[in-house]
Amino acid sequence: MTRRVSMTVNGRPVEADVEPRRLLADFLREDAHLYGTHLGCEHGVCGACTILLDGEPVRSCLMLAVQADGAELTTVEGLARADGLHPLQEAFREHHALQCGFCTPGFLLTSLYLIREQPDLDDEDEIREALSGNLCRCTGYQNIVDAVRDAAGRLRQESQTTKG
Amino acid sequence: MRRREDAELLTGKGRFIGDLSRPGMAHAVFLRSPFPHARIGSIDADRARAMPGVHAVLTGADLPPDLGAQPNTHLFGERETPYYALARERVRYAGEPVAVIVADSAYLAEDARAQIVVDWDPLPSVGSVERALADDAPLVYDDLDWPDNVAATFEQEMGDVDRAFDEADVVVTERYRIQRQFACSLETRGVLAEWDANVDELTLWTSSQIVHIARDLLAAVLGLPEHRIRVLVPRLGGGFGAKFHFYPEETAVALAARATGRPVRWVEDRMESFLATVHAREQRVELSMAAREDGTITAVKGDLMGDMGAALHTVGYGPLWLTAVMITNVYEIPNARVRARAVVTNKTPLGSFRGWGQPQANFVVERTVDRLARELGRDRAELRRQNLIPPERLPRKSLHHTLDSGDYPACLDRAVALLSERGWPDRQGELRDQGRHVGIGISFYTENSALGPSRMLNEGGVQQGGYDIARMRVEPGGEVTLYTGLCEMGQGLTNALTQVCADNVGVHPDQITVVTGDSSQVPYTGYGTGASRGAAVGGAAVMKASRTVREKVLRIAGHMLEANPDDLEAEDGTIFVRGTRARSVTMADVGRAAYIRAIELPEGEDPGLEAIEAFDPPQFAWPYGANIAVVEVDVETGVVSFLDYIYVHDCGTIVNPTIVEGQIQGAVAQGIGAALFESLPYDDEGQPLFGSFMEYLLPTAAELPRLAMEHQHTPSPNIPGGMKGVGEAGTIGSPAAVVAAIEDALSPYGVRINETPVTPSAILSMIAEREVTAA
Repeated sequence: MTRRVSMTVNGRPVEADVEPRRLLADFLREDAHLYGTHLGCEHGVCGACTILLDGEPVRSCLMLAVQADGAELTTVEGLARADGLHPLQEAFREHHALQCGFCTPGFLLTSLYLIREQPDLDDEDEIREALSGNLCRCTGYQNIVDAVRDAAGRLRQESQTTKG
Repeated sequence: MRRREDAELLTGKGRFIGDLSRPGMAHAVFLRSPFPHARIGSIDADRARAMPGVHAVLTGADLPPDLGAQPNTHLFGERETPYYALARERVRYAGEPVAVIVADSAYLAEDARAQIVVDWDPLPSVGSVERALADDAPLVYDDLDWPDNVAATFEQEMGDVDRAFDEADVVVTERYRIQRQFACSLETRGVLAEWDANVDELTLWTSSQIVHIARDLLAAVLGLPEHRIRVLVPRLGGGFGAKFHFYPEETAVALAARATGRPVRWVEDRMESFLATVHAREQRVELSMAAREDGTITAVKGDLMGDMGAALHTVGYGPLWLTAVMITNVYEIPNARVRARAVVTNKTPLGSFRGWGQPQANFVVERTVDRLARELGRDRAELRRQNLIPPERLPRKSLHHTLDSGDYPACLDRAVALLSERGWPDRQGELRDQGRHVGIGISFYTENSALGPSRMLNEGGVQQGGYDIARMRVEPGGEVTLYTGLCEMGQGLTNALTQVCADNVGVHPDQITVVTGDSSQVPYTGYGTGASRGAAVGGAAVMKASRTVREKVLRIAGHMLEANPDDLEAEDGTIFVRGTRARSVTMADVGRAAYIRAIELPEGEDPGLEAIEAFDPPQFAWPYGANIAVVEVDVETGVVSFLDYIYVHDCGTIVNPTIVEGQIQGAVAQGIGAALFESLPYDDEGQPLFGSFMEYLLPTAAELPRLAMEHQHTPSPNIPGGMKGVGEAGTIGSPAAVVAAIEDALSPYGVRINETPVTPSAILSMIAEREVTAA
């Protein structure tokens, strides 16, 4: 028993026949072949599988593919720009905010949402609190916090330049 | 230098074990024991096998009769604890694999698993060392006629301990409990096996830190020649020691691939990982210290019990042994005695986790030094300083090892100075006056790194070498390929090796490609990737190979330039006469001569531009450092928060400061996890009382401090290049410092904390207990 689902992932239409029980994360990885969305716990705690669904962060391990029917999704593969890395990715690279890189896609999408919601984000404690739903076992978070703060600054500057 | 893998990882292009697939691949899941100890009666898998999409169900009865037990490579004189890819007749811990189910998808395999009926006959079991050592304890290996649950007893002594205790002015004795934890990399484990029946060759992709060791152990278990197995390691999502082990699933998935004639992949799910991946750390320790009135520590003795779980895994009771032999830490203690008992229980086998037995040794020694300071009314830092081995008395033999080099007092002094510069302890006083509970904790560690001298390892019983071999090749186009048997698990090792290679052969780092994780391509490494040996031992091997190639490059270039090779320099891929860059050739010119135009080679020079060199360290290296934690405890909620964290250390020559700092930040986070959160508790019978990230709490960004870090540099006298290694360092001293800080913060209540983790509820009950006592 399968159902047809269609959604837009990173601006491209994706369609497949799936079992109703198929996890959204498995759909993205196995059906859409977007392996950048990682599964670290499959019970909604670690945040590695975080994606944006209609602009909101969700844990793709806690959703079924059929629940995302018709939605617009952003995964880590959709972040980079035509001319290179997204400023957030650049900031992660410059601050050594990743080691093994397994949790990184989840951190990037959580941070992207965070910075969009709070463009003025700068306070370390606030950033730490906001990132506390994502687990990293390698870095101790210090460099991730620095990268997110730096990226928020870069994006503020970018939007000012665009406005000016 | 930017890490070369970052762009790939940041764009979601890194390929981990769970991202790999092969044509016709099937998926495996495991049926595991729900009981800590049971006889397996019949297993009825007929319904499962008949389900559409199911390819095979294998149980212990389906294993080849001559299949070997899963090996232990660290033989220190212990009873054998045989266990197999799948349990045969008996299970000894909850989570032990009993059957593997192979189907078109993991979903179908799980459906089929639910249809398997096992006739279990539960047996009495033990869930703690205390229970395991009781007179009437059920035996974990009653079927092998063990008289008790002790797999091994290790004893070592130096000096005259009894006399030192008799003559001591002060003696303190404390009992410690260190909990079970596990490495818990964010990527779980996984295996993909493909068996080519035509030529009887196996290709195994596995999330492992030990490429060749995994291959050799699998070959031994299966009875195949090693070269019939190719082990490949994709990107690893962290390892931290747990992936240093050779697991039953690696054997079982290989057998499933052979049985089904298909590639088979298994990816551990998180819940499964809490039982299926080796645990770590758990010990009970009684430690006594003897001292003179002036504070000189004269003797230490320890009685250690390691809860090894149901079997001695790949590294045997190695971590417990390491705790035992590091019981004098960095102090000039002439008399020491340890007894360590490796006790089996009906729990997941114990194994490696960053730091091995060192965080435990550090915790019990450092906490006892604190106790002694309190007993003598001495400042904790000052008492440590008095007993640190001074630089002029290094190298110095401790119980088992020889501490190599450095200036411990200078390191401690700098950390204490930094504490003052940052306004502590004055601020502590002010905050205390405001009624806040602020504490400072200090610890000093050393790390057993650059593992290790092969002869010493073999003499000790380790069935592995400690050397590393690097292969380095300049290609015809002048680019460089570097082959290492060490694995990149996220720590950035390949970047450090690239830098060493670039500096020593004279090319730009961008010209170098590092090949890892393929047993058919990379040279053998004695011990796999662990024990903080990558930069030191691996780096030294790369340095040797690079220098050998460089000599040949200079000979060829000298011939081409009609110059003496001794007058040449190589830099960023250009070889030039010192002082005049006008006369130069490129690495590509030399490569071309070496491979394609032998006519350009000097007379008698062999073609080719490649070297393979081994480095076997003559001694271990001993990085060291000081941790100082400043915490505040909320006595209403029991929550601990960090106000500051100081880390001053010396790991010898630093190849890449960014990577070193990242290693320490991450390792300290794991040490803080040990001190405050992480625990794998069992009930008395060995039933796990955990199963998800809701119980096993990893620290998040909200709880962890920002580190104030400083480096000191004493190059290792035994390692070319002077690197000592750093991977595990941060895990070692951090639990002691954090717990000491909590105890200091709670000094108004007079609590003593000898047990981790120090959770909010533990803090609240300690406070409540003291208040009741006071009342």
